[in-house]
Amino acid sequence: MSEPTRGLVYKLDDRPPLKPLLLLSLQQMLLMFVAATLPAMLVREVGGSLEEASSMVALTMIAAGVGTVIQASRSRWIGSGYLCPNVCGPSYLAVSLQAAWLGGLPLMRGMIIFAGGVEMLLARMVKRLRFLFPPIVTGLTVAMVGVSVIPVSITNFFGVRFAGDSFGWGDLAVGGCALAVMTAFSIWGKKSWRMYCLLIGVGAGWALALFLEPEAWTNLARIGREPWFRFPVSDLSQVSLKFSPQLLIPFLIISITGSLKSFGNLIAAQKISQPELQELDMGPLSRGLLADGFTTAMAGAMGGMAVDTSSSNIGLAAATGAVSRRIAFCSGALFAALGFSPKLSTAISLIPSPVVGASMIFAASFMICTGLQEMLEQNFDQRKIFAVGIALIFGLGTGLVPDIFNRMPTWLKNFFAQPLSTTTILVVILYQVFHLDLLADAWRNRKR
Amino acid sequence: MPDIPVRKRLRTLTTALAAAAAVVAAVAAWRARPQGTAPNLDVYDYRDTRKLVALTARAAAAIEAEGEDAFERFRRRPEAWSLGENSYLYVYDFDNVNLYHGGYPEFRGRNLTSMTDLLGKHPGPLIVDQIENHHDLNPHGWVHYLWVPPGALNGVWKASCNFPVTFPDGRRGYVGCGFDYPHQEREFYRIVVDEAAELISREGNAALDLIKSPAGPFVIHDSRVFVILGDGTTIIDPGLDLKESRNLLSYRDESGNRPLAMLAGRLEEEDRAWVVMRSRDSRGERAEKKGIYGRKAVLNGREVIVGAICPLPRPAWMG
Repeated sequence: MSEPTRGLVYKLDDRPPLKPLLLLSLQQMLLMFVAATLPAMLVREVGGSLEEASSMVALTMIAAGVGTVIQASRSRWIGSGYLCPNVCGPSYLAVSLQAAWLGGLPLMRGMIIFAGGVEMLLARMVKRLRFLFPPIVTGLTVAMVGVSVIPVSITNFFGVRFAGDSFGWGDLAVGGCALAVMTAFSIWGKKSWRMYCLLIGVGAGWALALFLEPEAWTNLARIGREPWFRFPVSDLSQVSLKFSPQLLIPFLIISITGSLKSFGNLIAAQKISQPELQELDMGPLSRGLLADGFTTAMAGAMGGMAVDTSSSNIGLAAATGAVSRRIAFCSGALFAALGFSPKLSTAISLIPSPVVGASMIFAASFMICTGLQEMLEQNFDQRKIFAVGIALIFGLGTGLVPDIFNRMPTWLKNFFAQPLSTTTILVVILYQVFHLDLLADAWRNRKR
Repeated sequence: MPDIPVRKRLRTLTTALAAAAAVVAAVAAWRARPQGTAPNLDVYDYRDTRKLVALTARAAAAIEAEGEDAFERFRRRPEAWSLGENSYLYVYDFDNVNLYHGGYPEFRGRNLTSMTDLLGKHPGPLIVDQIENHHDLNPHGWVHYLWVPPGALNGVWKASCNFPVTFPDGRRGYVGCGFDYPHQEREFYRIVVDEAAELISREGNAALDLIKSPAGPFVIHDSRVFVILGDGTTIIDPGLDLKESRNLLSYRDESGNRPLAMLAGRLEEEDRAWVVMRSRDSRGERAEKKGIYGRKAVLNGREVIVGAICPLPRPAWMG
């Protein structure tokens, strides 16, 4: 068993007592909230109003909360049964922006429903595609899920909102303090302290921010101005839909890559929650992908932004050793409820961004190491070296030298949009290509 | 010495190191905090700009309290009165005689009224005009011009923030600080458009030549203030000087939207508005988001739209 999965405090089917359940759910929910500002950013990018932005944030939160509950359920048809929360999907941001620019928010919502439908179709096929995901491929995918969090986590950690802006000592102090407290409690804390290491770190970082940064105090005044309850839809035009054939290809591609990312997340959730499994159990993975696709389509139909499974939350579950499905039910319900309460959601949104960045770095560390460990347990031969090496180089290249890929034709650029999707697609293809001769030999031997 | 387990010693050492690092960082941040009467910084997107305004306000407060003795403090700890390379304080009287210059000390005592940049802008008189006559629209005295950073050959755009000061002996002047290659704040474009709209409403056609002139305050970076009629006919075109007018309401951006038509529509209900559009970046490689700020003004009895196109900040995590 790998180190990050050792010593689960609350196993998959355990029922944590009420107090730990609430605290652990709150902790998961805080991390889910990290991406909750994405819909607001998207609406602002395309010149939408403040009302549209707050409505879209609320609707996306409700969809993500409900999706988290569906994902943790274990029905015959849908839901992986794992703690694998949904958040507003950063993978979909670029194409959602493209759709919103072209035909406004109704077009974006329509195309999100299409993307969700594609993912649901893929979920039906995934059981038959198990041969595409040997441990070395899944390990790399899980590691890259952690890597994909790096840009958002680093920019938040340093408190830098816009490209080209300066570094601030105050933000470094706040982020550094939060990260130091989280890691210290995770490494040296006793069982109960270790479980709540993220909550304690957030508290410490926030307290330091209130001491160092006057903005943190003035922001608190905003909480008082918000109502306790507001229904997020005030006008039926907020849920109107449009479709465009022009966007089918970009949304098809992003839904395939988004599905691969969710597949990676579900694999990670399975490995963390059921370390006793010797090989992948494709049933829960397929039902989990179906739940993810359904939730994405539901988010679009409700008037929200696309949702996605959250790598950071799975990392947090690994870090705390609390993987019980009950935590997913509770945190999902809390997150959905927050969508109806502007006062509470504003309060959580005021967590200083360096603290948010620290939380993401903390969680992503587990994802990256879990994936690497999975990969390095394999014996590397020439075929595996080149499959992994080439995929990794091109995948990381999309993040390190993005200008090269920006000049590609649009249809090709969609495949090289981000490190995670590029690496995953390439490693799956290359692994099969480099093993074609072995497959052919096996086929010939079978015929003889 | 008692026999303390290695693990416990390591834990104590690490905790002590972490605590020491946190204290050092906290002290550094505390020392770097803004001091004095803080101006309203909420209008700026970038932290760099907020720091610059706060620094200039702090310098103004120091001069008002200590007079020219403050210059000695500026000289003694230049790093405390700068935001890094090519960012420094300068102080002039209202006749543009230099009293202190952190970048070019040899300027001291010289009258720089007649100095111009490559476009013909007179930075000194522009600053005095902004401070004296436009404080309501431009409270932090922003002026934009081309400037040669110390040690460089060619001119680069500079945005400088300027505050009026009254010395303890009653003399008046201004203190400023600028940065080269400034971030293009939305506030900068709001200021030039609002001032142009006011000028048009006050002076009519006579304002148009000044608005068009690269030597005036209304051309900054790659943008100049444009003026169009409600039906889109140009009076001052944002990109060309044509003998004939062209109609801008039909302009489509990279996404196929008609941003100026949207702006005209918004201005039928509001006095001022922002719309966003997408156009090619400076290298022509990809579409980037830009904003158009516009507001209504009256030119010779006719309602016109005065506006400017500005780049908008890009979220850091988007790279």
